[in-house]
Amino acid sequence: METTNMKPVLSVKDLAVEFKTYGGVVQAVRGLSFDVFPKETLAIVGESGCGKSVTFQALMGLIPCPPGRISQGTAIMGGRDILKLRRKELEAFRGLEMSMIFQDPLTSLNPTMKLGKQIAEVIVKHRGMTEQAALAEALDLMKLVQIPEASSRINQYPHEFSGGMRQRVMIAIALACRPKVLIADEPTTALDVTIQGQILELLKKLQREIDMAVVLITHDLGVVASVADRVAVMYAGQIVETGGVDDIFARPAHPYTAGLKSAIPNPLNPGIKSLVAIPGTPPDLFSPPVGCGFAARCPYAMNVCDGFPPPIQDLEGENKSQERYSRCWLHHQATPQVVKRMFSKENSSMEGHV
Amino acid sequence: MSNAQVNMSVRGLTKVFELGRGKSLTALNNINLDIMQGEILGLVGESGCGKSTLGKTLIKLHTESSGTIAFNGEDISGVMSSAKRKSFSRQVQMIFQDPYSCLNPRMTVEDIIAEGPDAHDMWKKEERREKVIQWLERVGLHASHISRYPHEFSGGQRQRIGIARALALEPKLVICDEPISALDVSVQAQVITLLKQLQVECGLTYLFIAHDLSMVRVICDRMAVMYLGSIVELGTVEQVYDQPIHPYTQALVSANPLPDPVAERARARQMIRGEINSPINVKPGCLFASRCPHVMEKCRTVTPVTRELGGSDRRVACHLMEH
Repeated sequence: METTNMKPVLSVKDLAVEFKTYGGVVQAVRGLSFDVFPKETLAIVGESGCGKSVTFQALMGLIPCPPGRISQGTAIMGGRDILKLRRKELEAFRGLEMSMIFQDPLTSLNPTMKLGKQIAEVIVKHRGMTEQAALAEALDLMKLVQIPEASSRINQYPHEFSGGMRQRVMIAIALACRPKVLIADEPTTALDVTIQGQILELLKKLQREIDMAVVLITHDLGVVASVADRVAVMYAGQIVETGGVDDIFARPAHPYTAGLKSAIPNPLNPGIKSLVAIPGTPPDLFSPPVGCGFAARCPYAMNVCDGFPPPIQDLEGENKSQERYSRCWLHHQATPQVVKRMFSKENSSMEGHV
Repeated sequence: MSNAQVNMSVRGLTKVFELGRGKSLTALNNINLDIMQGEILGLVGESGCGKSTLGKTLIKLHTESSGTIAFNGEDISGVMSSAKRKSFSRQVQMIFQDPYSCLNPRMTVEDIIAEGPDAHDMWKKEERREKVIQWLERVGLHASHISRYPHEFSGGQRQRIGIARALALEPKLVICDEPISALDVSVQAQVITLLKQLQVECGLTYLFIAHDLSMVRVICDRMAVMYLGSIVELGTVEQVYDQPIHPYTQALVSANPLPDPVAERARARQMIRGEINSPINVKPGCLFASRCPHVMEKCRTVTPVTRELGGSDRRVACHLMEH
């Protein structure tokens, strides 16, 4: 997808989020910048605790404050900074321009309210319709997300629905006002694999119909490979690599991305030997390392990695119009060619960049 | 595999939970399965298909409703005498899914790991500490962790403690009930490599219960696919994953996302519609019939029998096989 010439629908610059706890201040997100372009699917990949969910909760104004605090950064959407919206403005913005679906659809729905009414609630609030008209619209939305026998199920409660069907209701609520950006936070993690396939297919279809951008937060590289256009890999509160989906999988530039790729089982390359674990655990974000967050686990770590944070190194991707960079000293001009070649030889299934 | 010794043999195993008011839930329906000595047998299926119930019934945490289970040639069905149960429980152990709830929060790591061996008088008092340290080091933890409590460890470390706890009894068969699904991606590979290494070192047999098809394809020797309490397909992972025969296995493999965008775009998806049926008061006929793309008239009334394929160990339960 062409992106450089397009204007981003959401542009986040230098976002940082921290939480005050008894143990000290956790720096959950540390200087995050990215753009979301119209109609694209951007996948945010990372392990638990890397800050991927916190980032988008911050953008939606869902961080409890205190203990949370957005300590710096801007997020421009439709010409204004959405991090500076007041409560009233935020309520008008959420669900209308940007909406979110969550991992666990059961705890996100109101157990004491009929599902049709929960969908209609959004429509009444944002589009000022009467409840009667909104209920009719809710029925159309339930048909849109392919809930069978929608006209009888509109009066049922969440506990009468299966996990997959609940997630469809969540999607219907999120799409009620045709938002420009939909944030899907691990939408299929709690679902079975055949239901996961159905939900991903539905999201793709609706994305084309509504012309919205989807930000998919996930830890599942298989899901990323099947739906994403662009990928941003997060580690210890920062984006360590970004690029087109083909570049990320065929030519990972950051050792963490490469490690993640070989740590997951690939049925196309079976055998226990193909599975290589990343040793160690992510760093403690109470006192994040001065240098690269991944240095302690990185097989290619050099002296410089411990002491200095790696700068963003622009790389050339397959699709020149897509942003492609890695936050790694390996790609710095001063790094010896030998090290660069060693890394690219081991981690590239095609020709390397370095 | 045909020359290998059978470790556990299951015939006609059925488990029915009575729900009252004339309702009953058939969790396991006529399961026939042989677990071979030294193999890793993968058991896959969607949630609610009975794979955990099968694991728990094999370790006798549930009592079977009918059918027989034989371990090392000895019948262990029904209620066992306490001596028999004691020797059985030492030889068959389980690793649980949730590393947060399977360890007693009020016990130290030393007591958690030594609890089983203590019950079986395996270790002398003076060697207890040393043995625990040996096990900690074998699972990649440190000797200094011995007096800590479970809450001081990360998920991956707790799962290592769970593994040490199970293996300290020197079992022959270990039932791994989704041992990695609660862990992060990079930690999953660490735990799997550890399980594989210990399997080789200790000559263990694993029943590996999982919903992650890719992991089963990569680490298991054979796999069984379950749907609503029945095994619908069984064979080596190459046979079952690479050339699935049962329409349900085909759908499962087709829905399994591959970590390769080029391969993902190239593949033709065979999506199945609908959701899993209720296991309450099941009627005769194939349980997959309501979702099957190749459904025939017969499927709705006659329960398909499991057939063996051309003299191999491969078994499939589907009416399509008759044609």
